[in-house]
Amino acid sequence: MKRLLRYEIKRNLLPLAVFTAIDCLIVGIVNSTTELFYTSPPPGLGMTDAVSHFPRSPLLAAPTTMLVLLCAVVPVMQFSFRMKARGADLWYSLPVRREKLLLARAIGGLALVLIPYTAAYWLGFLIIVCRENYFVLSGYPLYYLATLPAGILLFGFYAFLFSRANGVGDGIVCMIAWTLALPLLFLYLSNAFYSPDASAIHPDPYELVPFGLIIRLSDIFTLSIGAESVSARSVQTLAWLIPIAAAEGIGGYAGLLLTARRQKAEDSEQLFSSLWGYKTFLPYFIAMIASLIDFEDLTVAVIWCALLLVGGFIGFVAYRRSFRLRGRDILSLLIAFAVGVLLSVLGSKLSSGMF
Amino acid sequence: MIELKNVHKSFGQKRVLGGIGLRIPDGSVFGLVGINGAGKSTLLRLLAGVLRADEGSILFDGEEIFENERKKRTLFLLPDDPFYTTGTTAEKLIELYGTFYDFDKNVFAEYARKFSIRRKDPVRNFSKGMKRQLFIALALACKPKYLLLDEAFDGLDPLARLEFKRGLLSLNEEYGCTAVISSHSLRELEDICSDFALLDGGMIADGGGIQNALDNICKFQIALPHEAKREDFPFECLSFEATGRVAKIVVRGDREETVKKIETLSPLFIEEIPVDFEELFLCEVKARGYLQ
Repeated sequence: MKRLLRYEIKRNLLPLAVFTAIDCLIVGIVNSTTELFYTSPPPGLGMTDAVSHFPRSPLLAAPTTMLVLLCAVVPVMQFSFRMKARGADLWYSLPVRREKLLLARAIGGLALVLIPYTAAYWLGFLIIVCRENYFVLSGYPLYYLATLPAGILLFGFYAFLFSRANGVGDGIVCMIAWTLALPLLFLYLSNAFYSPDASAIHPDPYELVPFGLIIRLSDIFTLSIGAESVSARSVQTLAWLIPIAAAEGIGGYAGLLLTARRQKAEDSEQLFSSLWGYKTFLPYFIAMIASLIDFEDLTVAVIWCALLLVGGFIGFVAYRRSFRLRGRDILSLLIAFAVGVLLSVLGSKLSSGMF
Repeated sequence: MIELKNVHKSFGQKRVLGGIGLRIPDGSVFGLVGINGAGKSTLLRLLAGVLRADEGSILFDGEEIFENERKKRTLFLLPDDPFYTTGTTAEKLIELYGTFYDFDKNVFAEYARKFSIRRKDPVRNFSKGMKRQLFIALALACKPKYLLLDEAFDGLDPLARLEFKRGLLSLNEEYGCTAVISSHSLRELEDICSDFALLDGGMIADGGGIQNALDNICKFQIALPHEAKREDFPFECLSFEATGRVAKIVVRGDREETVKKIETLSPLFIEEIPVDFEELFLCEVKARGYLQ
């Protein structure tokens, strides 16, 4: 394992240098050129406030965005080795067990994510410290420490999703699809079961993307570093987001390593027929999107339905890589659409209090 | 020893190998032959632990090979189209294989010199033959106990083929390396292989020692006093060709007995022609209906 890790580090030295340079450049430019404070109160703050300098955003967005991007891009680099038949022949013929290979790739990937993030983050912090600012600087190390486990979990989740596919394109589609899966469900549920009290403690659907925890942490620390008060709701939604992120991340790592042995070299470049693939998320998305269509305005609803069915058809064509779909694909499309329409009708009745 | 016991492999609904049983003794150079799509590459990938057999077992010195890290350190697979990334150079490949094998840089240097391999140039700029030479040099430098080669001679010029055969035989003699070679260059296989297996329809159709197999078949050119027809030869022939009064037959069995059978036809002359491995292969595939 040591030799494998050493080789993995050596192999990734150049990409590591490139990612670190790009990350530092972007964060450095943003932090050097952005205004760090207002000299008049920002909108929403009354003129009665006696302080003449008001902190602007503490510029957590740049390093945070780079962290999330790296967590999505690096799994594609690290786990695409088995998605070409020739690559699978090489790596699976070498004297290394598949679990060890994936573990080494995961460790290498984490280095590719965390080292550039760390370098850029602290460079950005240094720039801010050297400039005139009105921030609560102790918030920066805390935010960094909070995002480390969040980033590690996000990387694990995306690594698992990407590696379910048999091709790079399908892997990227899988990552995007499952990123939107939970938010779509909660969007439907929040429409159907909306109540002012409930929205106070559960997250908004958009926060349920896999990087939702990082976004929420960024919001909280942006306010606290800027010496603004953090709402109770912001902190309370962490009670949802932390377990979801932990389940996704830990599940991702466990799934990645426990299913290593079952990965087949002969699946390289083949259709993505896994349960994590098109045959699950296509019907799911069709049903969920259909459930969000408002059928009260029938004209508009018909247009949306037509677009959805065409989109679903295109999705299945992308899955099969052919226009010759199977009977079960069409059936799956139609059943999912029907379920979605039913859910939409049910949802509108629930939200209007008819049940 | 490599042992395959009742090995089955299918890809979806397509059965590729259906019940392969094979023993490859230590120190042998074993040729794997068959028509395109016979399952040779699949068998090599199963032996290398790249694929997992659906049924049966593949044993190296009594141990299952699949996911056996320790045993796989003694094994090297050279596929017909080896993988490399865009910027890979020979140096980077040495690093890769040096991580997993006991890589002998002196052996590589020797073959790099013989094949004129440019170590720092990107492999993507090499010709097909040069890539093959590079990977052969890497394979030989790893000094594996078991060397699995898919389309070993593909793309190699005659000189490179000679160097490769010498290198392989040297590895075999000095280190007792067992090589399993799949190739369509049957003349080359005949030079170096001691044993062979002919794959057909996912099964081993023929096999054993090459010399035994060649000793067991004879080819005769016979001139008859009349137009030669197949019916004139009332015994089993692997192959029959006739041009006018001259017939060429390939027969499996005892040479003396075959000559006696031919003499009963009162031929004008009988001439025995040497049979090579390629001819044996062609006769076998003809007998199986692949060649009309």
